[in-house]
Amino acid sequence: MDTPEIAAQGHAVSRLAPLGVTLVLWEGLARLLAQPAFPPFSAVLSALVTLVAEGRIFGDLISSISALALGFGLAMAVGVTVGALMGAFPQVEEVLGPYLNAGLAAPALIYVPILFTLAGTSRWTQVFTVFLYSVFSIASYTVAGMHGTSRTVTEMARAFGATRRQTLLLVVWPGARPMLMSGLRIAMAMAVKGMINGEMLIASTGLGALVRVYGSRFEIDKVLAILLVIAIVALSSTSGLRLVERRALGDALQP
Amino acid sequence: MISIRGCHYRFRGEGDRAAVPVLDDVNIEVADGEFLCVLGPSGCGKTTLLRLLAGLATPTAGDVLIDGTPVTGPGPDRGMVFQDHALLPWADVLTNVAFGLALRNVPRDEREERARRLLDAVGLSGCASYHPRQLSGGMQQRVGLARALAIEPAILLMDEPFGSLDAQTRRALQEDLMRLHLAERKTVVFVTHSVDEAVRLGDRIVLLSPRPARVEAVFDVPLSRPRPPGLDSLPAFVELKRDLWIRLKSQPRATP
Repeated sequence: MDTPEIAAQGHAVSRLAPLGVTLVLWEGLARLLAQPAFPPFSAVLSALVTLVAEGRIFGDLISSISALALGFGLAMAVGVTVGALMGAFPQVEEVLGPYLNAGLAAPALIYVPILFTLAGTSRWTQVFTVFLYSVFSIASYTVAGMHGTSRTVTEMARAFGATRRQTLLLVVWPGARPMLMSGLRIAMAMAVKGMINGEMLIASTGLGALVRVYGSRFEIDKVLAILLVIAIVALSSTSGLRLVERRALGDALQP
Repeated sequence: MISIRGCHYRFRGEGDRAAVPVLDDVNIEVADGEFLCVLGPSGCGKTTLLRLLAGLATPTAGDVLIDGTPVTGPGPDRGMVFQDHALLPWADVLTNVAFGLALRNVPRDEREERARRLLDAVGLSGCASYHPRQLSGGMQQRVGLARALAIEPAILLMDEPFGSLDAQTRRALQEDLMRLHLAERKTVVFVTHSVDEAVRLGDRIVLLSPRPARVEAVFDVPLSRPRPPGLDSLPAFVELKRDLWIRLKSQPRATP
């Protein structure tokens, strides 16, 4: 039997192995092709080091992350509330359902110019872009989670004398949480996309704006360096969510 | 004392589908402390009968009375055990057992203490922190039983609770249930489609006809409690089982 420690190490190795292989292939292939549009990993890494050393990236990073946090926080508050109301009250779902589906299907990029005319280049344009990219999926996962309660379980609650309120709070809502949490993780990925897309289109600050600037100068190594930063932001925000998830899953029912 | 008097029940038809009669003039009396088995072919309306007793459905006509008072809804005097256990999948065993108490705002300490006592009673002392999916089917059903007993009901309503278990597990649960019944003398209404189970457990057996269900016959089980050793080869046991089998087999097939 493996000790947990060895198993964990093995786990880490098997997780990092594909990354290592990819990087080696990237480096080798890029050197072989010698295309300016496809810089080797080492060039990207040194571009990243330069960006960090110059210190320019930090202002944009903070600008992006704060827009992400604010926009996603708002989306969570609105999305979960609206989704929970739709899940709890069929009348609400009937009224709002079509809008939710339309919002899910609509490419959120469309909103960016509209937001720009409303909020200009202020940070609120970015915040609401992030919001609109993620709020619909948060709401729809919340609804789906609440509809996921099996009929036998709600019938059981009724047989034990649960009021409708108790059924919602003690049975349906806790049962919806796993689905809600995976919805939040997916929505977080969309929020990161929204953040970059919005910035690339209009903003003068933020990682997306940097991508636009370097892209227009064909400094592909720097573009990819920023992509690395974006990937790190995305990964750490999802693991941040997971942390919140573990904290938040205390139980109202737990005796 | 449970009285089911002249009960009719029909599923409401939808659109151009006609209403389906499920119960047709059912009359049953259950004495306090009695273990009554309701036996009938699949889909005959046994579960519906139990739902009427639980207050989850209202008869189309007729009365369901408990101690002379009509049943108007679920109540703490009745605990129900479900066919597919109906445990909360996200909650641990202790929380599941304490569910009915949590609904009644019983303080946390008391809830926990009572739930633990019942887990002991159903033989699951060490499983309080497990989640339902970590348990076998038999253990899940034990949790369901403990949950029903936790609210200290006078009446236990059991809807084919052991139907999906393997023979050995089923036998173990039947024996534990009989032990608990003997100790607490609760009134039990136990729905089953198994002749063997009905004779093994019941003081009396009500045989229902195929849908729409009527009471076709009532049998007294001439066996002492606790059941004598060597039950399986006792003539009284074997003969009653055979009689019930013949009655069941001679029933017309249920209308689909």
